[in-house]
Amino acid sequence: MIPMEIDFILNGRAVTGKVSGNLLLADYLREHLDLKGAKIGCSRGACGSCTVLVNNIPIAACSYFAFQLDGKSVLTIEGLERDTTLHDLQQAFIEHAAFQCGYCTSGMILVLKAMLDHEPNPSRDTVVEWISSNICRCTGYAQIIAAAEAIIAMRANTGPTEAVS
Amino acid sequence: MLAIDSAGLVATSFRTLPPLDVVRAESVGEALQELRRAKRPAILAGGTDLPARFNVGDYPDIIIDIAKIKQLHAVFIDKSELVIGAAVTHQSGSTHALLPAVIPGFQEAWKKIANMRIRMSGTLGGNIMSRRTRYEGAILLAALNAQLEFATLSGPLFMAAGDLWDAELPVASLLQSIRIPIATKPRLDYERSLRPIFTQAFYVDDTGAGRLVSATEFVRPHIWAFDRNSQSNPSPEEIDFQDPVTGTAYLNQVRAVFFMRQMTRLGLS
Repeated sequence: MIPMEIDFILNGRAVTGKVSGNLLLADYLREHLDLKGAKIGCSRGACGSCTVLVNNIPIAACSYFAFQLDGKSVLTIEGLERDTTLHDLQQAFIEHAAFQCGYCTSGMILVLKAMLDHEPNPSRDTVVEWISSNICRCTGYAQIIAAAEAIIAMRANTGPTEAVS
Repeated sequence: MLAIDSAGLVATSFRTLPPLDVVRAESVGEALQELRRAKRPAILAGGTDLPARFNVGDYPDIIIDIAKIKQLHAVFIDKSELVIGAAVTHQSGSTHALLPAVIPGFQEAWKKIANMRIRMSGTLGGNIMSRRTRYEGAILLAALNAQLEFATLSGPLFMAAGDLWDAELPVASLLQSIRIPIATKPRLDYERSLRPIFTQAFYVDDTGAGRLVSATEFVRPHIWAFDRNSQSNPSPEEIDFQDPVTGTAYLNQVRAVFFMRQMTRLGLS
């Protein structure tokens, strides 16, 4: 088994890495790149707590091989803030108390970012459809939906400014 | 502190897989040659189904990545068939502009499969080739009388979607496309309000031919074909489902109720 060289964009920066064929993306991010934001829950692609965006598509990092990143772009929760300024979704989660234990939060925020990138003005049903990819055992989802709706309303007024000051 | 390298020889967690090789095939022919040489291959397109295999101890020694083979991603009409490449994702396929015009109801049905994250990566080919009764692709494709087109080293191999369950495929075979006949203007209705206990797809076309496909999470889809011309008021016969969780009487009752709803929605009653 020969390690493969992969080139990809990690949170906006070009990266070259060597990975074995059996290395999962979740382990690559957490153990090799020290990015702990993708949380490992079910380890079978069901719960969504390890969600990251690969080419702007939500992916369960526990069920995705690191070598698949070659030539692609990956965004983790660590890549959302800009110059210590939170992404507006992160800020909305704080303002709406959209987490309790926080274990699902990074995945939830990233799946909502993907949703807003694909559908800038989604309905509540669309929000529910997208976040049903991920499981939260604390909030009952109401606060998460509220945070998403707040962002949708804000962006409808101000445009897609992602960072808050 | 334990050093963890990228060789995969040190288990970082229970998720870590045994060592395996990876081949990124650029063509169907290349994939077939790799399949011919492999001992325990796994084909990777969307990849969403592989963890389920790993979790039951089904470890490959080589992964053949077919995601880059362009012809597997196409959706088009070939004469009187809708052709869907095996690596077409649920999301891209179910939102394809061709679907609503050629098979009313298929788009709505396909859109119900899986959550959005799975839909954006999971493929129709992977769904059906997994041969898992809880997956829904086999139900829809059996109802639509779809043919599966495999590439093999000795040429193409065609098989009805409903025959896949017990089929012994050549070692070097790769699902290329799913071909759905459309000449007789099929329509589809899919009822999954009781999923995973029970789901049912109902197909009918302009000739009056119909197919009712009933399934539970644990048993293979049951296909009941009828001809509306010879059966003016068709009623599906009872099935001995042998479902390990839900009683047969209840399932047959639900089946009849769903069938009536579907007849109404398709304008047949």
